[in-house]
Parts: sequence; C-alpha cells; structure tokens
Amino acid sequence: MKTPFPSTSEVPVSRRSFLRGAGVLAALPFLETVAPSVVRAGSRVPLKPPVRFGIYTVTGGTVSESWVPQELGNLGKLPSILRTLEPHKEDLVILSNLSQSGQGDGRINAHEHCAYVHLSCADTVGKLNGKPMASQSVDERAAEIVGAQSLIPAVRMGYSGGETSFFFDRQGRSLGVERNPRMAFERMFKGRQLVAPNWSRRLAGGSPEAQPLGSKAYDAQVVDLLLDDARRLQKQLGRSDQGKLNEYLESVFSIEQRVRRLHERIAIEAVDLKDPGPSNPHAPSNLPTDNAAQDQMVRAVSRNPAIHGDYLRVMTDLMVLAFQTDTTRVCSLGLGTDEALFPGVVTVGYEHHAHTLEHHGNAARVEDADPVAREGCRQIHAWYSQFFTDAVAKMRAIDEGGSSLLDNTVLLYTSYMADGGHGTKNYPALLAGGAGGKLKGGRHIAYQKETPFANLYVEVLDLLGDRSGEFGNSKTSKKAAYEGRLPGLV
Amino acid sequence: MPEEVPLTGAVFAAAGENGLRVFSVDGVRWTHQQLDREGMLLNHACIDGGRCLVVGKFGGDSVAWSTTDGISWTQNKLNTQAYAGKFGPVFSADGQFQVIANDDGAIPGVRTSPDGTVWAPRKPLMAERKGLKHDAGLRRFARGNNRLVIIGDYGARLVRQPDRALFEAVLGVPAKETLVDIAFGNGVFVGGGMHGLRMRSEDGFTWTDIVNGEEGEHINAMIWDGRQFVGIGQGATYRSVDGKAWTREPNENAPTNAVFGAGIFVGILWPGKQLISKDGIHWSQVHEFPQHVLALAYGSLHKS
Repeated sequence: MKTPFPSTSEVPVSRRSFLRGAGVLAALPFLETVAPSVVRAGSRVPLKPPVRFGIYTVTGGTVSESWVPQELGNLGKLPSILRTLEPHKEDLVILSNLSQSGQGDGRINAHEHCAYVHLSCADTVGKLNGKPMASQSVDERAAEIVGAQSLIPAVRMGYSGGETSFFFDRQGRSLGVERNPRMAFERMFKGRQLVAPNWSRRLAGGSPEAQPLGSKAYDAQVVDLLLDDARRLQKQLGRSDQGKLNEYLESVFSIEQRVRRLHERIAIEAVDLKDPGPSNPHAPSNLPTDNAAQDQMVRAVSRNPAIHGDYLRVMTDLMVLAFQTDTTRVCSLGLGTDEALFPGVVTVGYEHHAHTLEHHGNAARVEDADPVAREGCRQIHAWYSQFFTDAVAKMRAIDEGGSSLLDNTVLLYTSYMADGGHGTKNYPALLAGGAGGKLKGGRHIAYQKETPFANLYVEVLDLLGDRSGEFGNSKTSKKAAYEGRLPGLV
Repeated sequence: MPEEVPLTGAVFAAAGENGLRVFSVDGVRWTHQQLDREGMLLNHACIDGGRCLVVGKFGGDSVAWSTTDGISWTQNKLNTQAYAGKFGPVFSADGQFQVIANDDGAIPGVRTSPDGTVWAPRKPLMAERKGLKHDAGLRRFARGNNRLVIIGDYGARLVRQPDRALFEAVLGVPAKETLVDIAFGNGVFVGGGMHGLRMRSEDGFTWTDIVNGEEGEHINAMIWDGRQFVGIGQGATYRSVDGKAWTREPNENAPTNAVFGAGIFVGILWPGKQLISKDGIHWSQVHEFPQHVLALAYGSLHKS
C-alpha cells in the first residue's frame, strides 16, 4: 500500500509526534500478515447462496460486427468473438446500443476519459490535483449493498499493463487494484483454509453464534492505539497533509474492519470444514510460486501472449475462487492491456501491437478502417473471450447445493472503450449467470441508440438489492432513456 | 554462443525477440545465434551486397544491426532522438539498404546506407503525403519492371517509376483492398491479403484480376519461387504463374511469414517455431526458439 507521507505541514510537528506517526506507517504490513483473534458481535449470516456480482472488463473496445448478434430475441449462432461461449448461450444476455455520454474536463486524454466513465457513468470526469476524479464506480456501490455480508466487500484485480483507473470510491477517488496474482491470493486466503460454504446448513441456521467481544484481543488493541496516535498527529498537520492522512486512516480503519471480519469468518469456516458444501475449492494451478515468479509473469504479460494467457487464467480462477468461498460478493477483473503484443494471437499482417491495431482498425466509418488491423482486433477479442468462457464454464460446474455458482452470479463482460478508437457508443455488454434466478439467459436485447450504460448498472444493483433506482448519469445523461432502466432485462 | 566459422554464400537469416539473430544454410539447421537485451524486438531483415541488415526497436531507440559473416555485428541507432521515428521495413535498392521511416501525419521518409553502418540523413519518400491516411504505415516492398512498389495500411500503395527519385501514391484504393504482401515475377506484381484476396499489376498503379478466397484464409506471404506465385494463407495456399489463374490447396501448419531460397520455403510461426516446406503447402517444424522470430530474409553473405 502506498503510504501518504506528509510532504509539508503548516504547523511544525515534533520529532516525537513524527516518530509516532511513522510507527503507524510501519505497522501496516504487520497488520496485514497477522491472523486476527477478535470477533465482533451482531454479524449477519446469509440465508441462501448469495448473488455475486462480477465485472470482467478487457481493454481495447471490441469489433462490433463480430460481437453483436444480427438477430434480436433468442440467441442463434453467436458472432465470432463470442463463438467460444456457444455452449453457454442459455446463460447469456447480450445487450446492445449501451453508450456513455460523460464528458472530460479537458485535462485528460481519450483513454483516461473512457476509463473514468467506464464503471462510474459520471456526467463529468477529469483530474483534481493531478489525480483521477469521477463518481463512485458500480463495484463500489455494489459493495456498499452486499459487501458487509462477505469477508472482503469488493475485490479488484488485474491492470497488468498499469491501466488507467476504472474504480472510484464514493468521494470519486481512484481505488487500488491488485495486479499480482500471488499477492491477491494471499490477501484473500492467508490464515484461512479453502472451504466451500455449506449454504444449506447456513440456511438452516447452523452457523456458529457470533461471540460478543469481551476484552479486545491484542491485535485489535494495537489497531486502536495506532488510530489514536494517528489522530493526534492529524491535529498538527496542514490541510493538504490532513487530506493524505485521512485517506490513510480510512485504509487503517478498513484493515481493522477486515481483521474483525476475518476472525468471524474463520469461526464460520471452521464449522464448514466439518461439513463443507459440495464443491471443492482449490488454489489456481498456475499460481506463481513466489514473488519473483509473479513479478516475472506480470512483466512479461505485454510481450508474450502465452504468459498473458497464463495471467488471465490465474486471475479468472482467483475470481471464481473468491466467489466460490464467499470471500467476496463483488469482484472486478480489469484484464488485457492496450500495450500488449499479440504474435500468434493475431495471425494476419505484420502488426501485433494492440494499441496500433486498435487505432488503425477503427475509423468514423468501418469501411474506412484498415481491415487487416480490424481483423487483428477481432482476433484479440476472440482470444479474450476464451478466458471469459473458462470463467463461465467453471462457475457453471461449481455446485452450491442444488444451484450452480453461475446461477447465483451476475457476471458482466465488457470493455472500457466501445471500440479501439476511444469509442463511447454501443459498448460490448454481456451478462452471464442467473442472478439467483432473476435473470433469464439466451437473449439479445437491443435498446435505443445511445441508451446510457448507467441503466444497466441500475438493473444490476437492483438485482443485488439496491432500490434507489439510480446510478451515475442514468437519469441525468443528455441521452437518458427508459427512465433510467432497461425494460425487459429482468 | 556464436560459432567460429564465418558464414559465406547463400543463407537464410532470422531475427526476433531479445535481439535474436540466427542463420541457416538449408533452413533446417540454425547456427550463429546471437541475442541481446531482453525486450529488444528485431522485426525487419534484409540481405544484399554481401551483408545482412536487421532493424528493430529497443525502448525508445530504433536499432540497426549489420554483419557480413554472421559473427561480427555492428549496431547503430537510426533515430536521432528517443522515440522519434518508427523505422521499417528495410529493403535494398539502388545498391543501398533503405529503411522507411513511418511517422504519423508526416511525409514518409527513408534513410539509406551502403553498408548498414553509415546512414545518410532522412529524406522524404514522396513530395507530399497524398493518398496516405495520417497514421498509415508502409509495410512491404517489391522491385520489378524497373520500378519499386511499396504497400501499407488502409490500402496504401506507392510506386517509384524508372528514373524518378520520389514515390507516388496510388489514389482511391479502398481500404478493403489492403494488401499484406506483394511479390514480383514473370513481369508482374502480385499482391495478397485478407480472406484470400489476390490481385496483379504490371506498373503498380493499375491493379486487376482481383479475386477473393475463403473467409479467414488470410494471405500473409506472397512469394515468387522462380516458377510461380505462392500465396501462403491461413488454411490454404494459392498458386499462380501469372496472377490471373489460381489454384487453391488446403495447407497444414501454415506460417505467418515466409521466404523462399535454395529451393525451399522457410516460415515462422509463434512462438519461435521455424518451419520448412518444399511446396508452400505442407509445412513441418524443424526448430523452436525460446524467442519469437519476427523477421526472415534470404540472400548471400560476403564471399572473398
């Protein structure tokens, strides 16, 4: 985690205070790696397999004529980019004509613009003090709704190419993403055993009673001391440093919450271990063995499609595992990279650089685009779809006790651009899964042109229990349609 | 490790990732391998005048390597400032190596060198950037009928007529007729492209006998083997003596780039696979490098 080390202060800070503050910073890694021993009372236990929300977003837009089916209604033969999903089409809803209308503030480039509006659907995005600013992204909103019921409210992974921010908190600040697979695994599973929740037992009320907190355990006391110290330090800092420290305190607080949740979860899983759910979770087979191996993998992603494929596979497996073990109910993968080379994936022409292909393969009129580059883009996106297909197949195969993990998930497959020319109209959008029986698959629905993408997020959030009926610019977009909803989807 | 014996005579050259440079006399046994730094991508190669020239990128630099014997290499930078200029392809004309500079929006340029080590300043390839989209790159080259023809993105075609210094663009070519590769033989230029696209031209300006193949059978290499044109596509090989009448044969294990020499086709297929074929139809793997091979060339190294 990046530490917000104060650079200047308006009020001099004593050496003693400084060292105390530094102690807070130094303590952070320790807290992340030590298994907690506290339990908080009043936790909620899920009554049935919960609905999970996954985001599987790739770079580079898509090639719409090879993504969007020609026919409306029941899905026939899938277009070539989605061809690998053919065996699963009864689990898919393809949505077309969803678009973004949010504007940039003039301080961001086209990729940043597309990235910031992607999951936020903000009316205006830009930079503030050089930092990305948007409005809350849909994953974070979803985490507010269902996150309290799982160990980690929201998991965000990917960004192997150092992608521009997709994810934003309620204040519109950019959120971090875990790009290293081994680190992601350890953050989710260190101190735990992999076990499938026994949802039927939990449904029958067979989970352990939450234990009231008596005297605080040592780790929790340490967290409190650190927070007290940091708050004292905060009073002595200038305004800009206070902002930085506030962000940091929020991080520490979230760790404190996680410490408490983790211990609670370990208690529940100890019971599950004696009588687990029907599936058998296991660590991804190609999880890098150590930090050096994972660093090597991430570094090579942009140069070597074979390693890129390994990366997509392990990140996909981590998402499935996170859902399977109810580690989180909101998981986002930001996959692919515009800077990647795709020799062997692109088997036409002489150019293998995704970004070059994206630009050459797109034009105001499709017939003016370079057809060789456009075919290269199509091949890249067909390749991405193989990994998404793997995710769907694995989730379909995981039995949660009468229903599959896919039945209990709504998984969005999309891209942060509509096309490789920084397009914002007619994004690739596909929902996989049954959302707990609320979503019927096997369909292609075309909405009116430039229907706000935010309407889709309203529907997804509604599936998760949000009754606000509004997200991003679903009602404020100049292209607002269908009263901010997507009729016929659910 | 480089081998002790200097190479002379006709050889295949291959170049690729991490500065890979390697040679073969018969297309089967590859020797004189050299590597450089991780991340160096060498993606253009040419052999002429007894020298092998390889061009590529490392970070923000465009680099050129040249050798006469496969052992001793000289390295130069082609760009004068970091990240300035995208160089390639490389070919030989007028007794010199020529490297095209593709820069978005600018008139494409060329740098020339008699030996691959001393490079003349960049000169414009055309009088004006007419008939080229602003980001169109120039990709492949063929020489014949006393003229040069270069093809590129968005259907770009440039022709340098006899006794002219500059190229002219062929105007009005629709993007869907973009060629991936061209070759010259039997008095005509023949090009190949996506979905088995083929066409012919005697002067580079007027293209006729345009035919399409089957979906997905992208022709990545068009080769004149001394007797006929061989268009190596993904799934099928197309052959013609004159660029008018064609035969189509389903192929096996087709490469994504290929050259012809010494009676044999040599191809490459990711990752690092070296293939050979006697007919351009049936391909067999003879070697696999850990690094991907990006460029192939055939010609004679220095004999003395």
